[in-house]
Amino acid sequence: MSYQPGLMGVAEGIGLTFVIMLPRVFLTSPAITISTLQNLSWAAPLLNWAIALAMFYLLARVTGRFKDDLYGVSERLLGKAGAWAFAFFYFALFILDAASLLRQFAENTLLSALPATEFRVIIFWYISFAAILVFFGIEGIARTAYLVMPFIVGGVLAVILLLAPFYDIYRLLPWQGAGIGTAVGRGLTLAGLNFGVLLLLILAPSFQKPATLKTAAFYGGGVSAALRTLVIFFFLLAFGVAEGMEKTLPFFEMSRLVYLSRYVQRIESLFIVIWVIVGLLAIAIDIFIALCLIARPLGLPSLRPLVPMVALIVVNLAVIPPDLNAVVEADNRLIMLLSAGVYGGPLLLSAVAYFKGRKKRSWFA
Amino acid sequence: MEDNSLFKIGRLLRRLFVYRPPAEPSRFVLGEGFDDGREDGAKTEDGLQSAGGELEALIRFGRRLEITIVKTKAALEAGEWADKGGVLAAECAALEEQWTALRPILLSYDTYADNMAERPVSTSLEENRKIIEVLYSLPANKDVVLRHITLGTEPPLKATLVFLEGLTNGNFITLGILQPLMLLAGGRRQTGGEGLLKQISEELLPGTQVKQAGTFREVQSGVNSGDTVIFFDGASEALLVETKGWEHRGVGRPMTEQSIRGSQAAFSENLRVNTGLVRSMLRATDLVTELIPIGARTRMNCAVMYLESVASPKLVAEVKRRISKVDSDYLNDSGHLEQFIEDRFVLPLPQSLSTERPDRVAAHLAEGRVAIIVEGSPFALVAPALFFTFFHSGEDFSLQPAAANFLRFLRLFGTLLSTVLPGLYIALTYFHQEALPTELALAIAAAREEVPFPAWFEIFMMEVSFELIREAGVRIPGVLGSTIGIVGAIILGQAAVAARIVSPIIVILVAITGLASSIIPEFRMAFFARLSRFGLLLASVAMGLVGLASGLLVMTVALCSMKSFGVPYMVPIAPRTVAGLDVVTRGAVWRRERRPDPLNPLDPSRQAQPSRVWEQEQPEREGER
Repeated sequence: MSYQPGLMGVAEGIGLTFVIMLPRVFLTSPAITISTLQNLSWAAPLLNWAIALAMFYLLARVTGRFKDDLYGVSERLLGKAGAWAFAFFYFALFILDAASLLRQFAENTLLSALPATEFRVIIFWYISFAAILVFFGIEGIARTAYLVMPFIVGGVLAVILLLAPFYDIYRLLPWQGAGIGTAVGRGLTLAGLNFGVLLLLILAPSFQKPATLKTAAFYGGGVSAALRTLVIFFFLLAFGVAEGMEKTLPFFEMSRLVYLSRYVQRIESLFIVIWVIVGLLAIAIDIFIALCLIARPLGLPSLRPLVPMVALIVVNLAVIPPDLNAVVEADNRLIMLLSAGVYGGPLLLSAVAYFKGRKKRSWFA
Repeated sequence: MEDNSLFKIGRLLRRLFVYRPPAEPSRFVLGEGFDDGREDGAKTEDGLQSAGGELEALIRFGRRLEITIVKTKAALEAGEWADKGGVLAAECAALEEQWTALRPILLSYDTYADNMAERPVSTSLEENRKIIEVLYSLPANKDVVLRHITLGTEPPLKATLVFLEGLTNGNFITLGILQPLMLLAGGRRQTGGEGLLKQISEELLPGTQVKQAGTFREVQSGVNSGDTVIFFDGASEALLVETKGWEHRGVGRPMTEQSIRGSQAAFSENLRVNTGLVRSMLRATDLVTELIPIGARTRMNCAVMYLESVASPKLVAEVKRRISKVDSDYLNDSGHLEQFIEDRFVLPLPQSLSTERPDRVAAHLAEGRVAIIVEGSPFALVAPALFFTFFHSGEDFSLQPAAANFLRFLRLFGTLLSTVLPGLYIALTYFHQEALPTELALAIAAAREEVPFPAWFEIFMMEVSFELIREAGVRIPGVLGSTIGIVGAIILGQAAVAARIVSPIIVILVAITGLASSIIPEFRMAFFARLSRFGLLLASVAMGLVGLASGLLVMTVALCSMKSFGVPYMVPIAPRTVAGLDVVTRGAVWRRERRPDPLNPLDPSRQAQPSRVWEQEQPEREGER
């Protein structure tokens, strides 16, 4: 495993973006959005995705101009020390994201799938398998993400379809929810949910050309955002705002509601498979990208020796919050921090690139 | 100080825990004692002295020979041969006698040279014979035959034939070599060297293949592969005459890849028969068969076959590079070679297709792959092989697409069932009972009521028993194998249920997974499915569906990370490439215009579009003739 994680194309890019942006749809995030935006919460994913995509394109323009990855561009524009700080900031964000997802999926598993299992066993299980995936490299992970994508989309759509008898259109009223202004404001602050899309620029040399990155980001992130919108929309249709706000795991509650016949009574257990796959892939991708970000400035020839150490750090960070409420609260704050990552990097690098360009032009004029 | 118990215990502990290097280097040959007959220092010194003496004798002979040559040359140039000829002839005779005396010394030096195989063939027949004796451990080795003959030429020519009994055709040696050489050779002969060998091979030897060998490595290679080597006195090269004639199995029916339609021929152990079988099915002039000898000691021939106008040169070069760089003493099978040349990976998945059917090899060669056939192995390797290739069978293209596709889906479903079913059962019954219909959950509970073991142990026990029966069924000789297998399985299953060791549902489950794994056409892929079943079972026992999903995910990522000879294993779905109509589903044969894209064939087009040209034309009518 080196810094050239292989040759990837649009399909791999779509898979990576889709999987890293999706996991929170299976966690408490939709319920929190509903509590803030109420009946208009379904629009939030589309809104924050549009903002994140704009930021991505802004940054892609800068990286495309220099024909380099995010670290290389930051080194050119911010100098060595600036690039180190830049890389470390994003390293921290990816690590924190991995830790938050790890803890939430472990809690989720404890709540829904394995209530009798010891929590430490679950968290050890998740991190061990995520580390194994990292050992295989990002190329295999990306291809797997693309392979499982239809099953995930199909599974989510199946739940949505099977819940048809429970939908009530009046639960969407009033359709403005907490107000369009609030929705836009919340959309801006929730842009961090799409933070993962930046990984494409970190792995830029592995993709064929800049256009590949843009296509992958658009479709991968787009499908993920559409799916999140659909889940919140139909969750509101099935439960309404008041009831929906109280659910800790909205998607799990949706799948629990499914009843087809006496032979297909409960399908939520089978959807555990999807949760686990999405969760593990997302954690592994986070760790891999974080490793790339830390190994590049340090000039390390290989990532593998770092995997156990970084996995240990992720576990330690994951177990810091004392209970589930603290975990949800920490994740909320993390999303704000991730939003800072979504806005900060692109705006900073674009501004520096602009001013440096102007200076260069004026010197040579 | 007295040796009391305390000191004894101390010494004992010291012996236990403190490492002490052995007094003598440890021997690795059983029964090899310290007194192994090696000479001590004094004797070695004597040996050196005697060797020095021998060397001095040879040098003295060389000087004397040089002086005689100079004298003879001077006498000839001065025209004094008539006067001094007698003396010089006597000197030459004396030199010849001395040479006869000294020759064993020279031979002994040459014989114990380190790299004897690389030595060139000597002009001295005696020396060549001596080297052959050493190389083949004669006279202890009774397989090697040395036949000394004299050709009735003017002057007579001495020759020695070397061949291996059992590998050669005795009749051909008698009629095709000995008879023409001993009876037909007459008249003046060339003095020696290349002219002599050319004259003999062109005028006397009727064999189909006659080659010249300049070194003993070539000589060994020829003799070991059934050729007869002829050394001639005065010639610095030997002749290799093809006289292969060992016993081998004929072309039979495939044993492990049986088909209802399609070819019924299978490879045998003979390399040339196997390459011939492929060539008989793929009659293309640009079908290349390259022979690469493998093995430092055995020089086993390995045939690399490919269609030059189709196969990617990079792929061919890579396959040849890997084979030629195998540095091992001995390879006994294509499976053995495969492990040397495959892309290394942790999962026991096959990375090249192993087939005993020449028609499958021909079909893959036509697509741009490379075939590897090892001498003595009835299984050819086809590379690169991708994941979905292992679910294809030889007769897929002999059937209509609907039937072939049904069978392919059945195989994939069988693989999934065989891998996942035990784990899924455990996950659902242990951790997620709510997913089961109430009636089924009650039926399972009732069936397990009197069984004292946990369900995972039942499954594990039955799976291991099934593997035992399967392995025993293969090892028991003759037709008894399958009978005992079936009877054993039924009796064991029935008895286990009656004894309430396992529940009936577990017997059904294990039988289904066993059958499902047998549906996979490739044995090694079926083996992988069986192994991964145990892994997924353990993961499910530990963490239910979470464990099952984690295990499946790791397997998928591993599969997506694998490569076979540089080609990603999960092509064309991961990474995505042009799929064609022969991946999971099989399209109509007349719609398969393109060769598989991931192989980068030189000619991507397989057939014209449309290939059913007759449809475009009107049939001739009766009146138009």
